[in-house]
Amino acid sequence: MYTRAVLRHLYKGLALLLVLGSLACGGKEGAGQGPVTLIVGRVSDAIGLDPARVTDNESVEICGQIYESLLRYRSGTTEVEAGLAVSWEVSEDGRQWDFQLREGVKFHDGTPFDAEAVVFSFQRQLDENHPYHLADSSGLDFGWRSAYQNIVSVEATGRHSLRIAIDRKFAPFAANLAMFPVAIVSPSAVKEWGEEFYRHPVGTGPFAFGEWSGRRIVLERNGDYWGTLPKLGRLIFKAIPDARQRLVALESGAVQVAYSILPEEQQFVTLHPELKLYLAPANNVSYVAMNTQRPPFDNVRLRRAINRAVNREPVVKLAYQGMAIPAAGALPPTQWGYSPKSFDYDFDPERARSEIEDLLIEGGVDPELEIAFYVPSTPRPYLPDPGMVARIIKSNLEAVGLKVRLVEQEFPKHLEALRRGKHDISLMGWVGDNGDPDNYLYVLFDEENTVAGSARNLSFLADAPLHTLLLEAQQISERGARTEIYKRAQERIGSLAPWVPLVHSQIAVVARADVHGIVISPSAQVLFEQVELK
Amino acid sequence: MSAGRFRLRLRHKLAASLVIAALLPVLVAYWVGASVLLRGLERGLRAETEKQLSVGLNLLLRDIERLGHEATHLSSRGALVASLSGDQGELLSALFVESQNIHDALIQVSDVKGEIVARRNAISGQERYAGMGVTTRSPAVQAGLTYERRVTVERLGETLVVRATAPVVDDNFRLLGVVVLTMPLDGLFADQLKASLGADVLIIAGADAAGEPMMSFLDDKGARLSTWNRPGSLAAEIEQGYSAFENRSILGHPYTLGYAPISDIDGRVAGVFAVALDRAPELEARSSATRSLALGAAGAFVFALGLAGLLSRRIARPLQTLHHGAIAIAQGDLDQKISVAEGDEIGDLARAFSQMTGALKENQRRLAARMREIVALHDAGRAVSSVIETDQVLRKVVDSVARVLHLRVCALWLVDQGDDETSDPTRFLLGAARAKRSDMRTIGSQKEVAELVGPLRSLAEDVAASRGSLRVADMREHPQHSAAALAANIDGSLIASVLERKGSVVGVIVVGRGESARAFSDADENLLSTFADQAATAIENANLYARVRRFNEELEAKVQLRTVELQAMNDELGKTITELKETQAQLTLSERLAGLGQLVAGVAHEINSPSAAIRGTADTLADTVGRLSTRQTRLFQMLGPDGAHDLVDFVLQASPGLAEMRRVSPAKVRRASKQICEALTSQKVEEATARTVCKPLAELSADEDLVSHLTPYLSGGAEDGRFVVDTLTDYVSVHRSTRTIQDAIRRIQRIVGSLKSYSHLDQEAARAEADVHEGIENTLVILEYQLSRGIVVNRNYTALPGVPIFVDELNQVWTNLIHNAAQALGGEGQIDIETLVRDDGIAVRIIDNGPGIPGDVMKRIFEPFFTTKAKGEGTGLGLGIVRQIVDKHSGKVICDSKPGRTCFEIWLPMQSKSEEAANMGRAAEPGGVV
Repeated sequence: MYTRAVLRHLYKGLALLLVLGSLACGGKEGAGQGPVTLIVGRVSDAIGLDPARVTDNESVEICGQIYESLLRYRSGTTEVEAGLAVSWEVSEDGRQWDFQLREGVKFHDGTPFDAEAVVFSFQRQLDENHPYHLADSSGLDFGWRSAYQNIVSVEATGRHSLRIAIDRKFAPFAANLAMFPVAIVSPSAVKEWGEEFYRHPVGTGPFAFGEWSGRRIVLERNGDYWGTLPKLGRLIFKAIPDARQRLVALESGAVQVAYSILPEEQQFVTLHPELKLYLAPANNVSYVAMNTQRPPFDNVRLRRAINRAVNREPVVKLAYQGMAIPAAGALPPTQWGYSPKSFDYDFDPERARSEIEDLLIEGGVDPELEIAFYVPSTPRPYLPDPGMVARIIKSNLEAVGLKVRLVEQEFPKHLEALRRGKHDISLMGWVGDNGDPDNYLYVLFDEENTVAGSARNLSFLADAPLHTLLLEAQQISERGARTEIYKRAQERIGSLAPWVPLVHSQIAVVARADVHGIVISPSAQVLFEQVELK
Repeated sequence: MSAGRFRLRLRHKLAASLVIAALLPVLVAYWVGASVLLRGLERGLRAETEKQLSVGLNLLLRDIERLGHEATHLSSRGALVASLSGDQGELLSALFVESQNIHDALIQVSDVKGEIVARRNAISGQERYAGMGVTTRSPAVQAGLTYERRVTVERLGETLVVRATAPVVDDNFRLLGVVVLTMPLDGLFADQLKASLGADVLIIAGADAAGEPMMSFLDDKGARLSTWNRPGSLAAEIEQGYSAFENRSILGHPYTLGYAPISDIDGRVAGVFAVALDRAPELEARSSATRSLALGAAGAFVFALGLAGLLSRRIARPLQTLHHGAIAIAQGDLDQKISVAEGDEIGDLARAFSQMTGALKENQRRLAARMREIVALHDAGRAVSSVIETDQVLRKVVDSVARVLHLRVCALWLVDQGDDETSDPTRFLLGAARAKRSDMRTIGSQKEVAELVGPLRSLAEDVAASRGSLRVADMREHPQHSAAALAANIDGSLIASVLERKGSVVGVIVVGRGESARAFSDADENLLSTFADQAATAIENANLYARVRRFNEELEAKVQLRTVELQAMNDELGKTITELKETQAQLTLSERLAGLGQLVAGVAHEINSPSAAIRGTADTLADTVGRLSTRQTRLFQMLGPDGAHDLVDFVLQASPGLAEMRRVSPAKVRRASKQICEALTSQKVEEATARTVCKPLAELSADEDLVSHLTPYLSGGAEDGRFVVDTLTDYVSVHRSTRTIQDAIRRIQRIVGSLKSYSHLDQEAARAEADVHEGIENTLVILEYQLSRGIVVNRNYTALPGVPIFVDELNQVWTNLIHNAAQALGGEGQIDIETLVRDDGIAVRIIDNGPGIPGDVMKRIFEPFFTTKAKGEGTGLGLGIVRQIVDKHSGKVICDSKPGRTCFEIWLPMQSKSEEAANMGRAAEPGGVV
């Protein structure tokens, strides 16, 4: 009896020890529970999550996680590769595109992905009589429809095969198909949610929509994803409009990634050991367009002289506060087909002044000329401070003996005036859409885009050899040959100097030091696929 | 128990295990408790340090950032911008006014060329900023000249400085100059940080933290500490941009230090920022916790020790008593008593021990008694076995039993078995007996004994009949045999046991005791039964011995007789063997002769038919030729000499061709004659003529050409026409006959030729390389008459290399096999002959699609004289001879048969074994080879 009592005490003691032991070791394990979550702080919330309707960056970013298109850009490049389509063939005449679709893929709601879903996703925006060509309660329209006007028909030729017919041979079409507006949506989800679909997105992408409440969107890892599984279990986007607050949230660890920090904070971030700054060129260009249809800007010598007169340094350092790189052409350096220094004019105010003096003497330029410089009064993504840029350029031009009058207008009016060709010179910019050089060069320099009122070629340059080159590039699918043509086109544009290319702005993403694997795509989106926390 | 060897007593082991069992948890508890506690404290301190480091770093960064803002602010002040293009004095006063709110920096302003044009110390006193200013060439100034605003950390000797640059531009963004603010991160700065942080701060220039640190530490005299040992092992970590922690003693005081790198604008580590947290409170908490834990553990240990001692004593004492008792018993002291009062398992064990010793003692006693009996029995058994005469055996048995079992009466009856070994219980004989009188003296006279035990005979018979044994404790109360027992002087206990040998009763032994003696026990009965077995064996042995002796004598006589008989038989056998050998030789010869006979029959047949053909044809030929000569004359009359000549020429020319034609069937003749008739009429031949000649022409297979050629000769009316055609027919007939005779002669030549190569069967030829195919072909020719029309012979020959063979003998092999195949087919079927090269030799396969050889026949086909043919059809030596010949060639015969395919394969080696080996006629190999 005595022994038993002692034993009982011993057992009690042992049990106590076990409890102590588990307490000692348990602390660490507890922290590893729950999905690995990354929170992103950004300027504003998404507007809607229907890829066919969105235009704002915040919405597009989330659509990029949830949806996929037939084709996609190879990670970190503008090169097109297979997405939801595994292969494709283009007919001889370039008008029939046959796609073989990936099999075994499912939408997040379990609907199988097939050719019918693709047809549905295209037709609901292209065909006005489509039963789901509906108004959306977000108020967003199918704004991208015009970009796909060249599509004649989209037909399923099998459960996993598809044919898209377009009206003429058009090589950049592949790049168009990699864009988000033609991402494939779950037909059953569209049918179920109707006009509320924009708040209940269902795609096939690496992340599935979780919830959207307040200004916070939660995405969950799609465990059935056909491609490489994301390393993050959960991805949360949180809108924190105040830049200062965003930085504080980042410093405190409330978010792990923050976008759009103030330029003046950049150095603080650089020096901070717990934060990491990622700068990436935004897929854009800002420029001064000279109206080549209006004298004296029809004179290429004047245009070249002006190119030499503009100093990009204060533009970059002061107006963009360092968040930009000087441009020497229309294409950003990350765009395939980019040709370095196609505008080969160094800042040389002395030479510019003497060239202009020559023109004045020769009578090519009226000495009394007061240049109408059209400038937007409101900031644009590629022009954070248009006023300062305008004044820097004005001072540059005045320094070489030209008189400049600023015409500052709100952006819509500014754009309208420009499209009608009312300007002598104008301050503008362009954001690339589809990662194809055509989207810059054809759109901004081809004579077909000089129709007053809807012109996008704002220098109204009409050059036959250039036109030939640009159309030719549209007809060829082979990348090497196209690159070669675009190189020649850029040289031609540079020598005609219809612009003063200013800068390609940069975007800054700040992340905590324990966030690894951040890659920023040429379209200035963070690729979350390989991001992980260590 | 070996003396001197160290032995752990059970008590010690028990105590030791209890101590360990108690101590181990205490130690574990102590260890875990201490480590949890200490780790917790350490972790807390580390977390605190981390927090302070983070806060401190932030403060530092905010100061750096602020400097940047101050530079930007200063550069945009209108007064400064305006005065920068003005004179020096104006500039200095503008600078003084505008930089009032900058509280700690060296302020420098350069012009558009980078020339420093103004300077001001925010904190007066030159030493603080001495040597820290920038020049035109400084990166800070150069950056400003490209409009760049910049804040960075730079290393200047042992000091880190923060430099903020801002360009000064006018309203048109024209560059006028650069503002550069420089702030040293020195001891003073460290003091400021310490004031807001509450912890000591170190700032070390250089990535490796090797420089002289700027510290907020003051020694006991109030002087700033300046000596420093670099944190060696952590430097690499810090250099790569990670935070690092260490414990170290500064000024004799313990601290935890957290280091964080400070990067410059390009991300390079320019220096190290560190905070130091006082460890003293933590160390104190730690030591007090350790102390109380140790104390607790020691107390627990002492308590456990005492408890273990007490327990082991209580358990060990009764065990010890038990131990001593057990040893005493083991040494043979069965009177030892083990007294343990405990009511537990040990007490039970002691009681069991006591019972066990009691039982042991009883068993020992019984064992001794039994031993004695067994010894006696053994002696008796030996005595009994030592004699072989039956009478002696019986006597010994009875004497031994009586002596061993202390008997009054012992009697043994035997069942008389006689010579036929069948036992008859009615023939019950008293074998031996021994008895005592009532005065207990042994009766000497055998006759008297027999009389005394006589009455027990019926009892013995009963027992023998029941084949069991009988034990009665008191015979006086036995219902049947009490009187008999009393008569035999048995008034006490009795046992009757049967003697059995190989399942049959050979006798009964009856033993009895007087009233005064102990009644027989189980053991006695067992003993008697054992003894009875032994006695039965002994009696049997004695009987056998007698019988063997008798047989031996008889055998000797018989052997004598048999030897004579065997001699005669042996002679006979010798004669038979000789005859057999002769017969075999004859038979072999007769088989060969039979082959020869077949050959001759074949040849005769072959030659007979062509010669008959020649004879028949010759007769017809003579007739036809005779007829032709008469026809000649009529033709001349009919056609004139020229016409006749032409016709004869034509007929002579056409007839050999027509003779070649095959005979056509009547149906075809009818069809053809109709066509010919039409053809003739169309050529203006009279219809009557046409109808007459068309049939014979058709029979000749006349073609259009011929008919048109004949047309001119058919104009003379039906009769003449017919004559012309008959003449033609006769000519054709002559040619046909000639051909037939030629064919027949060719055939005879071929037979004779084959015969030559086939050679003689009764002569031994020499071994020579020869063409096997030729031999087979010759055989086929000779056997042709046997291969009736229904049998198709297919040849499938491969080019064969020359093989050394006895051609003639192999021909017999082919003859036998083909002949057999033909017979198996019964007149209809197919024989395939294949030759091929394989396994370093050649193989010939003769395959028929007959019914096959049944399994039981298959086993015997190579036996000489075995045949399935009807009597007289074959000798049954055919395949035996085949095998013999093939053996002689060192070859193999392989037979494989199933319904529809019987294949005999003869395999002959390319290289013949030595002649000797070939002649030895080795046995066939097992398996498919027979």
